[in-house]
Order: sequence, then C-alpha cells, then structure tokens
Amino acid sequence: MSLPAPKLSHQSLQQAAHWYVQLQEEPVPAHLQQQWQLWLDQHGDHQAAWHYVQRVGQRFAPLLEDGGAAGRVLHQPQRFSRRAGLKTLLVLGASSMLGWQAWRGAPLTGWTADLSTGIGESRHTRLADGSQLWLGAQSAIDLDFTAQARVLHLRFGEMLVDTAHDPRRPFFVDTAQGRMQALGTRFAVCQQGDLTRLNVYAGAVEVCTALGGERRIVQAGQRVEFNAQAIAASGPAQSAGQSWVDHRLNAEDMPLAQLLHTLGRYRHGHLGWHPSVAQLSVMGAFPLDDTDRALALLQAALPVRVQRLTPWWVSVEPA
Amino acid sequence: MVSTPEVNASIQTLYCSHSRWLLGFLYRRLGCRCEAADLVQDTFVRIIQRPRSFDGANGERSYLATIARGLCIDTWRRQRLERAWLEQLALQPEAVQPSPEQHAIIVETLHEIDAMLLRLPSKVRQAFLLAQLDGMAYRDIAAHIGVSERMIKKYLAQALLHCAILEAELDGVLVE
Repeated sequence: MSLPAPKLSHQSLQQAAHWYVQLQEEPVPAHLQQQWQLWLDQHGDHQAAWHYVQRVGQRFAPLLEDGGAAGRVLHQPQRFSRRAGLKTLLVLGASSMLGWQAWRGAPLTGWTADLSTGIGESRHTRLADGSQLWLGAQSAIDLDFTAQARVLHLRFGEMLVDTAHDPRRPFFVDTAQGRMQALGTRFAVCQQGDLTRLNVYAGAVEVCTALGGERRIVQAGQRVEFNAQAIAASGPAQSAGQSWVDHRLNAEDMPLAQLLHTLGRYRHGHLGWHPSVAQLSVMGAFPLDDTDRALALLQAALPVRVQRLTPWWVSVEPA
Repeated sequence: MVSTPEVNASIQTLYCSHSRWLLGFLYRRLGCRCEAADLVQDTFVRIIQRPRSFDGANGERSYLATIARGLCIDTWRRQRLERAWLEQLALQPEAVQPSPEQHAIIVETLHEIDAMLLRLPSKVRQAFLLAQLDGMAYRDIAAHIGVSERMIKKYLAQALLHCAILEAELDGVLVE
C-alpha cells in the first residue's frame, strides 16, 4: 500500500528561487525582508518550496571547509561524456522512482527569459541598438546590452538577426555550446539539444566553443554545427535558417529528422519518427503555419507513411 | 515500496539464477572482486526497490546488466572525482587536511553536486559555483564571467530552480 505522492507547484519553486537570489545579497533591505515573509506565510506550498531551495544551498556546506579543493574540482570543465553523465543521474535519481525524470526536462525553461515564444508562435522585434531580431517558435532569449557589449543569450530554439553597426560595442550571441561574434550583419542561430547550428547570410561570424575553445570564422553562405567541445559539421548555408520568418521551411538536402524537429516546434502534441527514416534527404518548401499540409507533402514526396493514432500523436514511419 | 511474498520469492529466484553470472560480468569491468560483489548487492537492492516482471531469462539478464552498467559508470565517475579532489588537496598545507570522516562526506557531496549541475549550461554552472562556494558578490561574478549583474541573477535563479526540483523529486514530491 502506498500513499499518493505529495505535490508542489512549479510556480512556487520558481518564486522561492527568485526570493533566494534576492535575499542572498547583503544588506537585505527591510521592506524586501517583509515582502518575503508575507510571501512565505501566504501558502503552505511556499514554505515547502522554500525548504527545497534552502536545501540546495545547504548541500554545499561540506565543501566549504577543505580550503577550496572541492570547489576547484567542480569548476573544471566537464570531464565526462554526457552519455556517461546521464547514466550517473539515472543511478543517483533511482533512490526515488521519479527522480531521474526531472534530470532531463528541467533546464529547458523560458522562465525569466526576456523574450520567449510558444508552439507555433514567432515574433519580430527591433532591439535598442536598431538591430532586427526574429524569434522562431518555442524559443527563449535574454538580452544583455551594456556600454561594452551587446549580448543575446539564446537558451533554446531559433533566431535570425540583422545586426546594426556599432564599432564600440561588439555583438555576440551565446548558447550553451559557445559564443558567436558578429563580424557582419545577417545570421541565424538554432539551439537544440546538445547542438548549436549557425547559418551566415551576410558578412561573417566568429564561433568559439564553450568548453573546447575551438575557434572558426564562418563566412557568408556557410553553415556550421557545433557542440560545447568542437565544431561537428559544416557546409553551405541552409536557407531554412531564415525562411521560417515567412512561415516556410525551405529544405535543400535536409535530413528528415531535422525537418521534423522544426515542424514539432510549430505543432501541438507528439511528432515522432522511426530511426530508419531519420536520414532521408528532403527537398522542397513546407508551410510552417499548416503543419498537417507539410506532413501530407512529405508523405507524397518520400517513401514514408504519416501515422495518426490521434490528432495529437503523429508518427512518421517507413512506407 | 511493494513488498509481498510473491515479489520476495521472485527476487530470490532471480538472485539464485543470475547472481554468479552478474558477478563475472561486473568483475570483467571493474577488475576487483570486492567491488564487483558490492555492486551485485547494489544491483539487487535496485531490483527490490523497483520490482517488475520479465520475458524469460534473456530479459532478466539484460535488465540486470543495464542496472549494473549504470552502477559501474557511477563508481568510475566517483573515483575520478575523488582522485581529482585528492590532487587538489595535495597542493594545500597540512592545516586544512580533512579527517577520514570528512573525507567520505566531501567525496559523496562532490558526487551529488556534480551530477546535479551536469545539465546546466557552463556559464550558469560557473556563476552558481562562484556564488555558493566562493561566496562572491553578484557584481564580482558578473565582472568575472563578462555579463551583466542582471544576467547573473537570472543564471542563479535558473540553477536554484533546477536543483530544487531535483531535491523535491528525490523526496518523492511531484512537481507540477
């Protein structure tokens, strides 16, 4: 016999994390302290959330008194492959059945992002410096403009930018996999899983990978894909990197898996595919504002069958 | 946790038919009979925590092997973290050498925190460690990483939320 699992709202944990960051900074103004107390007393959920955020802080306690040795170990770039890491998490989390599910999903959050979009949504913005920015579906970005630099942090998803010229403030785009510096004007960045894809349409962009420190200047008309260690692939620029602005996905010799990944950000529900069709090469223009039609076009052009278990559960199978 | 006589009996059967095979499997990977025996026990502890049914002996062995392989990687990772920590410790004066008990606690904590932070982007991880371990002011972290103080606060909130969700889930609390 087992009791139902106790629940805690994601929102309360977000608020607790936000409060913790505010209150760590000395001195804490009296009014802030009072507001926090009000928040805490408001709901039992808030107290539970605060408990877990505090426990994160306490985890570090044993490491504070070894003269900094443990800190230096943790500060070193990741020494293990991600694959091995995931297994560790699985084992660590296995003390509770739920544990490891959270390890996978947690970082993909648009929470606190300056600009974000949902499924099927895209938006266009003119930035403070006059640069033009387009954000694709299911994407999140932070803007960090200072007197020294203009930095866009793409947390996940897809963006296209036309940068304004400013000789005193370089323009950067950061992803978890590395930093890109604009040396020209128009380029697109897509962050997905462990990979960042850069398409350069005008000028040039310099890439530096986050952990490996590999550098490369990518010229107009070129494309690279990189992970945190190194540049994994390169080739001619894909027009798909900017055609989404017009709600179109232009595929020129694009692997089917990449195309379906993109479609998935424009469509509610599950969109899966069989591994044996992932590498099929796709040519053609597909509408992003009518993903059902896009899937019908795929079925007509490729040896695949679009299987619909329900309107929300679609799978692309070999024909 | 489920604990009925039938489940206990089926785990006993599982243990009798596969524990020697599993010991050999782990010994080939670890090269140490003691550690291999420890991990055989740990593997069965996992099975007791999550009982399930199998399609025949092949299914049983492949499930046991999956769990055991995960535990091996876990052991290696812990050993590598411990070695890296001992190397760092050797660079320090005797005055801050921890006791054997502290030693064990520190290695365990290192392992937990390392696993928790694994999925975070490197800048988020770096900012979080500078705040938690080095007690650096947000302004100084911002200067160190080369982003604004406002971004640092976002990074820290993201890292805290990520870890707090894991803390809650490890307690069996459902975060919705």
